[in-house]
Amino acid sequence: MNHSMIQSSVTLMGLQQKIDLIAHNVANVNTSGFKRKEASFIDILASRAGQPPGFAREGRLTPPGFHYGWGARLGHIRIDFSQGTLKETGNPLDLSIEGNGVFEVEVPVQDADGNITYETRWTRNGAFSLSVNPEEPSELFLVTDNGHYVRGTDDERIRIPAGSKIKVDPDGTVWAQARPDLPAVQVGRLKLLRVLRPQSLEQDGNNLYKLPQGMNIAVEDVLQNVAEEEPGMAPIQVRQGFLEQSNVNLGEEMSELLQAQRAYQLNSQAVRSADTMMNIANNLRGS
Amino acid sequence: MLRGLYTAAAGMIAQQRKHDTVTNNIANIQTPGFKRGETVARTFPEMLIARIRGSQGEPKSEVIGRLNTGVFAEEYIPVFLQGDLQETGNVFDFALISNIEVEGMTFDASGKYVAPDGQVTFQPQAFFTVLHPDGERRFTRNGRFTVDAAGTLVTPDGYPVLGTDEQPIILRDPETDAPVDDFLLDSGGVLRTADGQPLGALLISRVDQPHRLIPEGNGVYRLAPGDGAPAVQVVGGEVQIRQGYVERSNVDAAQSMISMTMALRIYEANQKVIQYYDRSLEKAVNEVGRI
Repeated sequence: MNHSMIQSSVTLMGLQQKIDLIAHNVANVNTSGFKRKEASFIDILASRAGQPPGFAREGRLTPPGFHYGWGARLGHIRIDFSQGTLKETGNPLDLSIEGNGVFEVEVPVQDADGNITYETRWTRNGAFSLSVNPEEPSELFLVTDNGHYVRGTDDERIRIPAGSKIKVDPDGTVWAQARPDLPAVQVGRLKLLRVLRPQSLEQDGNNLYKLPQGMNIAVEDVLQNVAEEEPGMAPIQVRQGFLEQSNVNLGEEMSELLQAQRAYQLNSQAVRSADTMMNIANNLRGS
Repeated sequence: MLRGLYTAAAGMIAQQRKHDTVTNNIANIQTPGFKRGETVARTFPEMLIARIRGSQGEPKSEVIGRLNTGVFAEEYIPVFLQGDLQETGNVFDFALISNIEVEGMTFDASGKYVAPDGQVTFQPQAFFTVLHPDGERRFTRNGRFTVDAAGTLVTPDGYPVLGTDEQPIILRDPETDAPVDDFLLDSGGVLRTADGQPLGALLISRVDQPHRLIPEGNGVYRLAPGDGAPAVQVVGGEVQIRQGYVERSNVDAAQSMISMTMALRIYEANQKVIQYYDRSLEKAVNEVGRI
């Protein structure tokens, strides 16, 4: 049996996954609010060939048995929640979070009977816009760029009277001013959550995060409502007119890619070497 | 009888094992905390060769000498050289720097000391201590930890990381039980919350005979049956922990390529030897006694 071939091909697969992951990060270098993912390798569970006690001869350094490794696999993929740089856009509906927080949005989910229910998701992407409330045309909802409703601290959608100017305070309070000569009115406060356990969040596409299903994880253990926090915690603030850029660092990704590619090459060399070995064994009898 | 035929075949198998070990090292060149392995070959037990029928006037039986008729891959020895540290900036990443001195011994570049009488001693090594689901301890140099939903500090495979109180380290505020997301490691190996509350200290085990550890995969090692439990290593001085770093694999690509090529070529040389024996046999079978 050719272990070398198995080890190398298994590892090639893992390296391919790593390269895919890097490609995903690089592809999102311009996605606002995007958080890069990183992965590391773990050696695969090893096996040990038994050796009878007679093998324990003088000069032997290890206990009886011969170790067989089976290569490496990609394990432990995690989301890097570090802050991205803020870019000024001047658009009053572009909001960014400074600090380790997320916005809460609701996403429509169609169940088996065709009924639409709303599920909670979180996002760092604050490129919001407004959409008209179909039931009340004088009212607008604050929505994400995918049209998902943004929630306030009261767990309701944020509603803004049509035609008003919007101002957002650093603590997330949203003010609407209908006319310049009228005072601004508070229309809600953005629900901000502090991410305590980014390891327990799962990416859901469209730059959204959710809790992994079927793992019975309590929301309080992962996210903490910033509005209910005691003072003294690291600040989480909303910046109006700014967008958070992706936290992908191209230089870093390229050097990771380079290393992964070289490791891929090295492993394909190992495959070639193992192949030559099989060829030698096949030609044992001569041709 | 052509003894060498089997000797060469044994040589091929031994080189195959060597090749397997090298390719496994290559496979783990990006695995944090991985320690490369080396295969040690041993000759088959010696046998005594004696002449059983001498010519006239010579003794009937005379010892000619000793002969080994093969080789096998005897053991796999992990080499616990320090790997390079790589900065990740993640608070859940820890790297061990271990350079434990033993009085009267100077360890060479491969971490061993050979006494004048030939006795080999390996440098003791420090490891993170984790708890396997079977209740036994495992040891690892892969300090890329994470946290589970309950707040326990775990390895990527979910093995809890033990603290000096022999209990898993829980990342929750000791007073309020609130999950802690920001913590710092002080120079004594104690994890503290941002305002200085201790969360637990990482239990570092000192293994005096690291080469006897059995690699289990998943980045962990277990003790060989019968070996005593390792002592607790005090952090600071010879052994340090760095937060925000991981220890890279200590596999060297160039060295591995050379070892791999060597194993392959010796394998090929052994194949040639078999072919030569084959020719001899061919002659013996087909040509000797041809009329």
